[in-house]
Amino acid sequence: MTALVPSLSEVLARPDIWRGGDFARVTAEPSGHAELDRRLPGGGWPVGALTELFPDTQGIGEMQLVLPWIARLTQAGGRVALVDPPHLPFAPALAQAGIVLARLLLVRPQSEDGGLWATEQILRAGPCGAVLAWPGRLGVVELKRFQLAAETGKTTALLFREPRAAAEFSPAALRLKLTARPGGVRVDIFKSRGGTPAAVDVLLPALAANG
Amino acid sequence: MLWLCLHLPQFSLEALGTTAGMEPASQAGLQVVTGRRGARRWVLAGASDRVMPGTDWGTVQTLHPDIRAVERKPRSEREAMQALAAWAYRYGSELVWEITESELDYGLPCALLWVDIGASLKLFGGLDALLADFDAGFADSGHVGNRGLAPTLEAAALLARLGLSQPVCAAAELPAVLDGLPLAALPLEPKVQDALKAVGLSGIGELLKLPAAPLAKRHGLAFTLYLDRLLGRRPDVRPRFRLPPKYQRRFDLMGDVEHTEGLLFPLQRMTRELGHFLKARDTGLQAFRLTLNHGRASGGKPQPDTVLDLRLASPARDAERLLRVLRERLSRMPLPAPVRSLKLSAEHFIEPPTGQGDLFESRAGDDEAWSQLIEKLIARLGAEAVTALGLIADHRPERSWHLRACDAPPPSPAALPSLSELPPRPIWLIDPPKPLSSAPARIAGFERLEGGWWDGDDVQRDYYRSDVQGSGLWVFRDRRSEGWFLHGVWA
Repeated sequence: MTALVPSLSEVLARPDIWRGGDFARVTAEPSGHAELDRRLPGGGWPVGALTELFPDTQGIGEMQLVLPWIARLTQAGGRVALVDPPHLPFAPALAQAGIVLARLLLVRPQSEDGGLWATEQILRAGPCGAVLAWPGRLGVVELKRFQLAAETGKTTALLFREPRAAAEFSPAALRLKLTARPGGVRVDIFKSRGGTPAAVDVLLPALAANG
Repeated sequence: MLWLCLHLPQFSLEALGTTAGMEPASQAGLQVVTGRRGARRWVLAGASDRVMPGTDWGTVQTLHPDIRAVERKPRSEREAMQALAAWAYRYGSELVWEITESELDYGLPCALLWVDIGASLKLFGGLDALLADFDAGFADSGHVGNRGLAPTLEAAALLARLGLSQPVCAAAELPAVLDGLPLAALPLEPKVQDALKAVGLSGIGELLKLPAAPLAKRHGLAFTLYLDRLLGRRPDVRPRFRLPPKYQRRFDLMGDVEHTEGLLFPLQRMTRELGHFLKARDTGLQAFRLTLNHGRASGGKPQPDTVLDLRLASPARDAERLLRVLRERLSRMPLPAPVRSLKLSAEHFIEPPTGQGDLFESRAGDDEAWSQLIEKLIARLGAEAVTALGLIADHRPERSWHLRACDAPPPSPAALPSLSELPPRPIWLIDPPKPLSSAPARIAGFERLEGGWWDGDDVQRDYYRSDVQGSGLWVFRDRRSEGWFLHGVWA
């Protein structure tokens, strides 16, 4: 009879048991910035979910924030898609950051609609472990579609958006405001499913070294 | 040998790709195929519930003014027969087909396709299983017809024409089966038919009892040779069908199709046929072409065809995949003019990698999903919008990278330029460089880039980093024009 009674550790390992003060079990990919990972539920970028980033201006280190993770992903044989980036990604810089260029897909559609369509297709299909997209205006409907597609394809989706869109409702699992700081960037985690809101300063050596 | 013969009475209509199976009957209207010899024109096939084949076209016009006539297209018939033969290839490697015009029935075309299924019985698990599979596949093909099974070509054709689908598996059984059949069923010259009738013969059985030599003397050697081939007493040597080296298939549409959605139904059938062809040849393709023919404009001027060249990320033979690529491509393209006919063609074939059940199966499945994704994206957005990045060993930033096709093999690591001595580069490149109206403030870091005199694109630039509102800009001063340019952004 005693064999049928589960031990406490077995009970706690069940996915439907949730303990207060504990992060919900979120599958995540470490971002490569230890101070940021400590604050993120699951310890990194959530897999199979949307993450929205709202840099207050372009070029404050938003790419440096995600590059270490992309480099690690491509080196491990994963694929990454960039959809409709604001400028041309500069191949030598990506290679300097350790990214395997052969594992990088660049999608630059003619129209905004094409970009939204491509983002959803890539998220849903699954062969890309990560999608970085720069969509224009997004409604809740599009975001929900992205969320569903990312769940289906078990893809990590990072959306770079205009700062004013931060005030709108969104089903994204993680929403981050980014502000410039000397030698790095301040990450304000204002929505985090399975975690708590927090703000953290992340040092970005690559950004600082040249500055 | 066990020949399965298909007799296709409506083949000249079906070959045009406008059968009831292709489009809803109400929409298609009634259509007949006509033959023409001199001034005479008569119905060959179509609208069988209202018009008998062989009816004079003038009579049909008077009685049924709503029926439209289309001329017979022997070329379409050949192509359709090859497509059907490619499908039938799975039931046996020995195939024969014939489209003849019988002297008897007003020159009605008689389309016959034989396949030797004797060697495939075990593969399919017996005759019944094979026939069930065959019938299901044939019903799918959009053709109608009867099948006959017999050990000889002629006997199988005879049974198929008469609609006797009961298989006859051994040559010894043949005389007994033929015994009860009327003499008129034999495809003989009218002269011979009449002569036999005049002697008082009415059944095939009676004919077969007669000695061969006098028959040959009376009605010619060809007649007795036919009887020998019918009963398997003499080998029947006919050229076997071989799949053509190139693929080409044309479909005429019922009327003008103005929207791409209207093309999808015929394309579904066309890709299925192409899939059968590829499977029969045990190969695949990576590129194919769809040609849309627009007929003549209202002014009578022929309009140029629309040619769509389609590429796949990896060799494929799957009809669904081919159709998906076509659909994506058509969905982003408005038709320049109504479409009259479609042509699907392929010239180069590549064997697709076979899915081997190995240790890395999950990775193979991932590659498959990747190829399909790339195809889908390219079909909708165009190849120029879906690319990968590559490096080039060149000092000049605008020449140190290039866009490559996603499906091109990655360069070997040795071919890649070394980046270890290169100072840090910005993530975004502004291409082409944007002229700045004034010299930027707060510049730091200095790098002089020179070179390119050898290819006529000489640059002499001093690069700096400039910080504006927290963003790092990569700017340069052109040393000849003294102008400032923005060339990149750190992010």
